Amino acid sequence: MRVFVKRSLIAALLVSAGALLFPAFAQGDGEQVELTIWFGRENFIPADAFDAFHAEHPNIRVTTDVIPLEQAVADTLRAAQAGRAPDIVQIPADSLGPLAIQNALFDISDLLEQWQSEDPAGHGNLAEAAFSMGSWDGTPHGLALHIGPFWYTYRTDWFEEAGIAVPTNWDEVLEAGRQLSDGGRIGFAIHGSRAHDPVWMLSLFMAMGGQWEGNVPQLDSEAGVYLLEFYQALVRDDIGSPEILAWDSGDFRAAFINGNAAQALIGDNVYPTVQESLEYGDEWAGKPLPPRPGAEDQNRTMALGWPYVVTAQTEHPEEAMLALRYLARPEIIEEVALRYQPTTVLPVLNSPSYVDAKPWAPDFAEAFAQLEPLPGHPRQPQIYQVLLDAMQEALQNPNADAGEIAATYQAQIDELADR
Amino acid sequence: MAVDNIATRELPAARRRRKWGEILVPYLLVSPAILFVAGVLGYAVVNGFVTSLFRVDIWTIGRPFVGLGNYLALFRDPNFLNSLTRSLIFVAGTIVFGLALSMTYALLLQAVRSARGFLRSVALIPYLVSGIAAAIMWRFLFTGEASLVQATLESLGFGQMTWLGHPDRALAVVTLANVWFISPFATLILLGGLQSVDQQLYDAAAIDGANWFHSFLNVTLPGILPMLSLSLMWLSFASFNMFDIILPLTGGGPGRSTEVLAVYMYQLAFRNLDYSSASAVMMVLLVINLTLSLLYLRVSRVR
Repeated sequence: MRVFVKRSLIAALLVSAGALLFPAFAQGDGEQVELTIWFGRENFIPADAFDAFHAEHPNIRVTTDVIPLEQAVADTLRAAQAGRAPDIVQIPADSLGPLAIQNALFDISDLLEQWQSEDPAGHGNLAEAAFSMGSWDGTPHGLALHIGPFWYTYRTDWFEEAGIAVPTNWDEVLEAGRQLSDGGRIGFAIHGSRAHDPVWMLSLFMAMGGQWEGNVPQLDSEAGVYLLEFYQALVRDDIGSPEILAWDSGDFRAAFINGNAAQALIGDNVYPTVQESLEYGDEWAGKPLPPRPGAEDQNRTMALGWPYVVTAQTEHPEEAMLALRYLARPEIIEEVALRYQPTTVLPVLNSPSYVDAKPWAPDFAEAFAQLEPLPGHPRQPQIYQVLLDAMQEALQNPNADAGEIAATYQAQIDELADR
Repeated sequence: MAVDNIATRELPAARRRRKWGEILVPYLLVSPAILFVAGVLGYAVVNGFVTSLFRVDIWTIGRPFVGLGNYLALFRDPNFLNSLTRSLIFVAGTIVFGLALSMTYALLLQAVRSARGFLRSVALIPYLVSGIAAAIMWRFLFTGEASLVQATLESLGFGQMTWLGHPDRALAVVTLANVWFISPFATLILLGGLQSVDQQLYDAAAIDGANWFHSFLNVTLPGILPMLSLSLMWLSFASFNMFDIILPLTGGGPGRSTEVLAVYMYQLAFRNLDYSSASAVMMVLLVINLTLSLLYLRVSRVR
């Protein structure tokens, strides 16, 4: 009995020692690497949660967290101050400046070159916007694998019923809105509250031919004044909602989806939700944003981008790049693009399953190739607040001189930009 | 005799020890709580004050010392002055309506004889709802197709009225929502005060021929003055710091008409990423709150 106990004890000790020593030996084969990735939305995380990546790279363990895009920059800077920044963080492309200025980002030029030489096909799958939106001042810090443009969206059945042709410029959009807003319908639905950054406003601005000088929007230009007049007309001519100043994105999207609005500016990612209520083609359709009359050659379609950027605090830039390359694989990104935001990985946009799930995709294929990123300025957050002030001033004073409003707020924007 | 002498010599010393013990023990017992509060709040306040003396934002490399520069810039900023004005209107409105509401409800609760516990629980419901949920509820009340307020007004023959899209009405709505949200706690404080007033004083006043109003003015109010002061403090603090109802309800708009100091501070810190200016606003809020609390305490002591 005593011998049995003794042997049992020895066996237990050996097992314990083995359990303690095994990880040390295992680590000897290759360093165990922990990568932390902050995604801006839960929806951006691939469904496989990096399972295939872990199988291919058993020495790399990816931990994901969701830090909303709106607070990703602030949280990254705070985490960096505490020495706990993630290896990769997803941020809005127009917020790259603050992180770059604080030297919080890693220069991935060499890693991109390495990728191009190792896997030219994979590297070549990406649209130019994927690289440009992940760069600041010419230095690449990450990849924008998802981009989201806003499209001009309208009710085909209502237009047909009223005998109105599909608008080809913003004057015609307003005129269609005037005709279709009778009987309690909203002619053109858009947000006017301060709940969001003015990205819808800037999308209109760019489509109307708006220009940026040194990444500063020129609100006092012809396009800027026209834009403010457009907002004023929405209120003055009862085209927009009477509550436009209180409306956020949820309100105006719901107005269109619930059949209360004739026209709206809706993001590509919301189209699947619209399709659940209305039939594409028969009841609704979309197209790239039309130009300002007389400025057709200046019309551009703006896209928001949410690049994954590598932070300066990463101790494993090569492994971080492997994770980015994994996220950029067509089979991985397609799953996300099918249920959420479109992608810059071009083969996905042409795949049969994508077109099958998003029947409107072919109508926008040409526009996708010409999307322009929203220019970002280091003072972007403050400039956004002034743009919201200008927009709300125009909405509150529909008969005021739009030129004066534009000049007042342009002076504030210029003062911020010159600091 | 010798024993008596020793006893008489030792007694004062023992009493002194006991006396010191009686004085020190309560402080000793509350010291963990004080240390905890000082650690949590004190650190935030000290760190906030220090940050307000430096330039800490996303455009500046390092943390250059600017002294009172952030405060001077703040008081020259029209957006800050607008927020300060809006805050004062918002807090004054909340105090007037909130105190009237909570006093009325506390008096009713004190007067009812049955179901007092149930009614007290009902009074607390708004306080138990989260700020975001309250904001969404108030938003549904005033905007959208299913707006109850809009439907009621239209059924009464009024035309369509914009509430959250109109600067003055939006401020009125956020003030009402705030009153609804924070008054229940003031009601509980006042009810506690009312229950502590000696019934014999009311009986004596009745014998002297005092009516309800006289009794309220001369017995109730002086009796609950410390609790009244505490209620005022709560209503002021909670309103000056109010943020979680306003942001989802109006976002500070339209046109910054509901951008009170707490919302402005949030915008500075988390949208503009200008931490030092936000810290300066925090210190201004702290000074306002401290001044008001000293004022309330002084008024209650004068009586």
